[in-house]
Amino acid sequence: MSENFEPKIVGFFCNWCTAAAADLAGTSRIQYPANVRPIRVMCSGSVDASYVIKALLEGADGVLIGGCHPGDCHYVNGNYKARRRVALLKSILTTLDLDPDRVWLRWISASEGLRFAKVIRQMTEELSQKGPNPMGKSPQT
Amino acid sequence: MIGIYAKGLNPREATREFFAELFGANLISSALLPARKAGLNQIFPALLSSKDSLDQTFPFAPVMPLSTAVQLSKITRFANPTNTVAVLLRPCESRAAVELVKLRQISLDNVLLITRDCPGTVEPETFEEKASDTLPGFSDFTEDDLRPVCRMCSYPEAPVADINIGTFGADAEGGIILEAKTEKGAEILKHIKLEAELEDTSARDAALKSETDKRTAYADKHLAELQKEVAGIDNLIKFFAKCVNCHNCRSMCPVCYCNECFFDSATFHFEGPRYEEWAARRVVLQMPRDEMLFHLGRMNHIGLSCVGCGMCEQACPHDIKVGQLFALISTIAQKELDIHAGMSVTDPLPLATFREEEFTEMGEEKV
Amino acid sequence: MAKEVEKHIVVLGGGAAGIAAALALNDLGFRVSLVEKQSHLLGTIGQLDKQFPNDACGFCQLRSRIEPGSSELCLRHDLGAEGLDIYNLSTLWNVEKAKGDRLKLTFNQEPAYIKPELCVRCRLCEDVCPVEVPDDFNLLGKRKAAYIRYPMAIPSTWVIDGSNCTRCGECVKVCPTDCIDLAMQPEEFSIEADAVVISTGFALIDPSYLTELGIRFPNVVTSLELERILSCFGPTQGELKRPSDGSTPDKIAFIFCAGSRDRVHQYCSSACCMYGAKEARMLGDKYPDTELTIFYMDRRGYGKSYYSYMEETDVRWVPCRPAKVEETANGNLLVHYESEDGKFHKEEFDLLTLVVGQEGRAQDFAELFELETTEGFIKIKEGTEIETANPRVFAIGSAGGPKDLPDSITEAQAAAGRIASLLGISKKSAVPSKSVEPFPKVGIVFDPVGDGGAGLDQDLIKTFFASKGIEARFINYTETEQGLDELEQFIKEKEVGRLVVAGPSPNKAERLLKGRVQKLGWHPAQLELLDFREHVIWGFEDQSRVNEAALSLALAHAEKLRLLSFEQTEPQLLIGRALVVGGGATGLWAAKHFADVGVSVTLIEKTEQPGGQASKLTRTLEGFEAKPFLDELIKKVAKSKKIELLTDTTLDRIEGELGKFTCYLKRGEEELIRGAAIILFATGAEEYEPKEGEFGWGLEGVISERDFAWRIAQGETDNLESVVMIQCVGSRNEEHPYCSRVCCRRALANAIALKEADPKIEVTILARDVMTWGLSEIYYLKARELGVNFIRYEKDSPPEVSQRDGKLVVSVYDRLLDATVELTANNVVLANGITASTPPILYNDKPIAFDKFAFFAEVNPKFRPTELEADGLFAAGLAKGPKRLSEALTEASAAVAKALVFLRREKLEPKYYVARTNTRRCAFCGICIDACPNKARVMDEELESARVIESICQGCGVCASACPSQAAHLLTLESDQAFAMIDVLLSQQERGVDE
Repeated sequence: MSENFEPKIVGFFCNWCTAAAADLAGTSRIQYPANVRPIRVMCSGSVDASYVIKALLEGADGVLIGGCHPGDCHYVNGNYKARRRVALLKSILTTLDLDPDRVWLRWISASEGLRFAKVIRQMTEELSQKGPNPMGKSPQT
Repeated sequence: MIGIYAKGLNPREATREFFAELFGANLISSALLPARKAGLNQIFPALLSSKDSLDQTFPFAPVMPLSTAVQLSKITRFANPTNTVAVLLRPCESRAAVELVKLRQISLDNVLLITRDCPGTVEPETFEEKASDTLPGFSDFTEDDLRPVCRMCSYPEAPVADINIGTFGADAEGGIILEAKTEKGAEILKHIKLEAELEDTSARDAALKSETDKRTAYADKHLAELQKEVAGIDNLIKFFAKCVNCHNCRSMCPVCYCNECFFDSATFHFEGPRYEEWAARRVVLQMPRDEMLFHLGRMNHIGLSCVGCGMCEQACPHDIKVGQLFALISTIAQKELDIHAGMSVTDPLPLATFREEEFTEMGEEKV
Repeated sequence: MAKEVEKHIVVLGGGAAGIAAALALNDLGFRVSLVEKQSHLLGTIGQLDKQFPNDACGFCQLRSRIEPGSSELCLRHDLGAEGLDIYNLSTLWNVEKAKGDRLKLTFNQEPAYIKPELCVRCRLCEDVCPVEVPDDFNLLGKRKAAYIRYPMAIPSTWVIDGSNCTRCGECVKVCPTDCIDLAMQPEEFSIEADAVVISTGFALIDPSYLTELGIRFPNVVTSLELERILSCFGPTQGELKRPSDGSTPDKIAFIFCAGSRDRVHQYCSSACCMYGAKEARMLGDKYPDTELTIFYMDRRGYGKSYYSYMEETDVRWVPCRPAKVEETANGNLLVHYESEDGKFHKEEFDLLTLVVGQEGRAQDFAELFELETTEGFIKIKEGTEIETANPRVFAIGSAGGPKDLPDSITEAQAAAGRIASLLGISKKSAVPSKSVEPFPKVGIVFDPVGDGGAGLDQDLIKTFFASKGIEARFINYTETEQGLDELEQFIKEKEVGRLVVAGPSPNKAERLLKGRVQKLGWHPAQLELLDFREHVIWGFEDQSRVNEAALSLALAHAEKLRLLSFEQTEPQLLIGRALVVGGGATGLWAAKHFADVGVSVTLIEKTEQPGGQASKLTRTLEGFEAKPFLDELIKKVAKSKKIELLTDTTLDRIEGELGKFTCYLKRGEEELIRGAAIILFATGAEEYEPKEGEFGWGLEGVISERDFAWRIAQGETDNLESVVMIQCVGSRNEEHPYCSRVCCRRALANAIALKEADPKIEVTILARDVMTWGLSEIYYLKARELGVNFIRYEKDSPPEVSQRDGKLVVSVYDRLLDATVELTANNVVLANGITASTPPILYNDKPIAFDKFAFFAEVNPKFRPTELEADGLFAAGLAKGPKRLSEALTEASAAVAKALVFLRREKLEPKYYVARTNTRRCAFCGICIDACPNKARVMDEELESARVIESICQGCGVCASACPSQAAHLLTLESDQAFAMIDVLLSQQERGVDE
């Protein structure tokens, strides 16, 4: 892939855990690639599949949904519901050969600033390998 | 309880006879059955209030202009009928009805759910071509006439019913096989004179198995080809090339139950500058917008409820194989998520619930 | 009407219990001062990433659920409540009587050397600080003299540790806001308190005297050190490495009761069995191949779910206290121990964890308040868990004895309930609703923290936004007073009606910034914070991309705000009445509590007499007489005009919602209907009835513990020669996999009473683990001193009871002797456990959730111990699980405190962080009802639509993403806003900064 390719990642980060982990990474100066553009959501379970699809069709090279670890959800079980929805979305993307590996679900707790940075780094690297998302920006999408 | 009914009659006559008996014994007060549109060669569900017009019904006509599950929803959703309504459904209609019960769009409180074995259906046009004064039956069509979704449907018999009318395993003039599948059904059958209890169901089981095997084999092959055809975004775009975003597919889908589709809502009333922006990024922005979002979004909405009836495809003005595509994604998704549409009215709603022990590896990759 | 004087409560100690008490009191309208000796709050809980029994955190669950604007932020970042003042670095040194029954408390506050109102958390002071001292938070590393205890600490500002600071002044030079003053002096301040809550917690036992357990060896760590090792922001960033050589240990042992139940600390530390097990579980989860061994004395899993928790912990349990630990040449540990069969073993481990307990440290406080102590813990009034000799002073959590977290939180909330009873509470009137009109002008303020934003091209950014018709301005340090003034000026000057602040994280600054715009008459939703410093300026490794990120993120949020508009709903009236179900001690106590604060209450009891299980109790182990207490309580309840007591009455079903429940009651054939804002279930439980023949049940002389206690009380102990007591009858087995919590203590009370009546009576207690946690351990010691025999038996080899020659014979396998021994007895006393007995209760046609033991299921076992899944429903006492009388009463007080949060309001206010339903679109399918984790959604048959109970809704949005038509939608992120943000983020990122 092109050396200059910088993958664009849209992040849906839950207010309680992953957004706080991103805060923690920042205050601790644990740095990560500048490829993620976060949208703060209250719960990973509130991320509608159509938001993820919309992002992919609009040219996102990856979508990262970040939530609390199972059992830790501020809303008791929103993350479990998110997990099932992402499983369905990935199943559909797999069937249609639309590269399910561009959609990541990761549990990142408020104290895991380091893990947050590692996830962003790993995702950026893997998406760089893949190259631009072919779904994005076609006249028909 | 399972037994032979009206030996000597063909399934159509036997079924009419069965309904006549239900009416006669005051077990039902009305019945929703496939009937001939007056003076026309089309079969639509009709609500009959007496046994007198049963001769207009064609319970086994191999055509399905729409899913009767939706009509059952209209009858029961806002207030239950006062007296018992019997409804005759195909397996796919029954499974759609089960989904709609789960979604509170159908109430079965005053409904006697009768299903019948289904060997498959043809498009309404194909049906009409073969019709004259007499309407064609299943045997008037070849395998190739059948709608592809019917040929891959793995439910020749409905999984949920009070009473099922079986034809697989019965002789052509050998009546029908009535089977009570619930207590309610068994209670009804007590009042019906069966020719004989069917002690040995092996012929029926074998017939059903062979039918299912045939269809599964077809589905495996056909869906594998389809999957190749749509693989990747470019092929998917090609697949939907003729789509005009009319949303007929969702209008006719029995499990698309929303009052107003999200994809028709004000969320999609974008401002002019937004269109300019999109066009600027793409140079060419193909209109109408958000067609792919609609199809992929709908797959996520109903992928776990899709019963593969193919009403979407039948409704498509441009013959896009959308029903087959949905059969493809939903077959795989339902298997992978171990959530099977139309199997039980007590199953939880898949997208509102979860199982703690499922997909435990997701979200966990250690980095 | 005379203005009500604000009641002021001082909470001493800002650990978990202190914070819980402060929040609970604040929720009831008290002015609260939370005073902490350390630089930052959150004591020990700050060091525990996860806590038992659910192996999660969930600290945020302590927050008010109905206060608008209170339910969005992590509690570890900010307590975020009006009327709650925090004082750190402060030590109480004087207490004197003040006007009324008030107490004047005088504190000495050490200087932080950093003015918190000016600290912008840039960390530059820490970076340049040359002083390194041992890190008292992470334990195994170093920290600077300029530091924050840990990144999410409260307060969120840095301090300078004056005792280690060399006054070199480097930090003063780099501080961008001149907030450091190294000449700061200690200050004294006083507070007149109407009541005081002591929550000073415990000191971790200093293990240095445990030389025989090898504490001096590098690879012997304490349980708290292990906790930090396993923490992702601990000294090894969560990687398990042993201190000596950084290698990953394969074979790890834990020694429980290190420094507890020994010659120095005779008592049991209560929490260590469970948190030791938790650490083993965390290790097992993360490193499944690790071999784990636990050396223990008794497995004290005495809470409701604790027994099964321990059973599920996949370790080798070895019942013994190791005698000696040696170090091998490669740094491994050789543990010498004697197994129960008397054999000696030497076993080698790679890492050894000493599970250390709690030491009382309330001595100084006790002296100031003239209270007695036991082992450094404040002496608690008998029959209570939190009351002291001074009626205005309460001791909660480990201030009053070693406690675990769930009990501490219950006590904290109970203190709020007791104080409400004592002082009364103020009513709260609703704030008028405020809607947000569509399409005003949007402004953006960038606040990237001084030099941190060096890479930002201000002209480019301003020009860009000007071209979009958006006002943009750079303001430094918006969280300081000067910054806020500038922000306000910007709003007024540019007449913007929406504002994006691309600066500090909302977790730190949201309250301040939103507070300021609310003063301008704004709805808080009109301001949006985006964590520009954390997520971009400090987080991005490629600083050349900060300009593009500034454009895309700020524009996306501006779009979100431009599309924002909503109508606020009206506050909902509340029925000013509570229903308490069950007239046992718990229910009576709760009803009296409500009556004390002026709340009307209906108390129903299914039998003809109130009193419940407590009426069958004699003396407790500590000597508290239950009967006079109960008689007095019944009398008071009967006399109260606020309490409607209905006996012979049961609850049939409940309809409605928080604030307006309709309760259908049955009295004989008669149906009664009562409205209530909240319902408290105190339905009790029953004593386990053994099966015929179970441990000899049915044989003459086999008797229950409770009946035996009555016989002792009535002096019927003549002619007794030998008594055998069998513990865990109907407890800790397959049918009832929990500890019944009261039986071991009752057995000890009986045994001690017998021995004291006649030392010649032989008393043998057959127990699996003796559950005398906390200070009650001394009674275990006392019983042994009195000559009571204890024989341990395991679940798979239970004792057998038979009758021979008119005597009872108990045969039991004794591991020490490796033989079955036979004991003859006049009486065999069975410790019959506690079983759930509440019948299913229908709420809106669905049964209220019970746990797997058929007790009421609390929604969160640690932080919301009395609340059920649906807001407004509470449970306390035996109905919720086995507990002692004093614990049941404490739980009732806690439930009352939580219920009063609602009952003190005339109306329930709507919130902004809520979901709504578009009634026209709703297909009435119920998917949102199932998706909602808070039962905040109901099917409204009249509307033919789902409806949100906005006072309950916590705004998670799970309903919105479950609803395919988006009839369920979320006010804080509507789908058009989300789509717009996605669009902008992607297009702008791609376009970069060129256009």
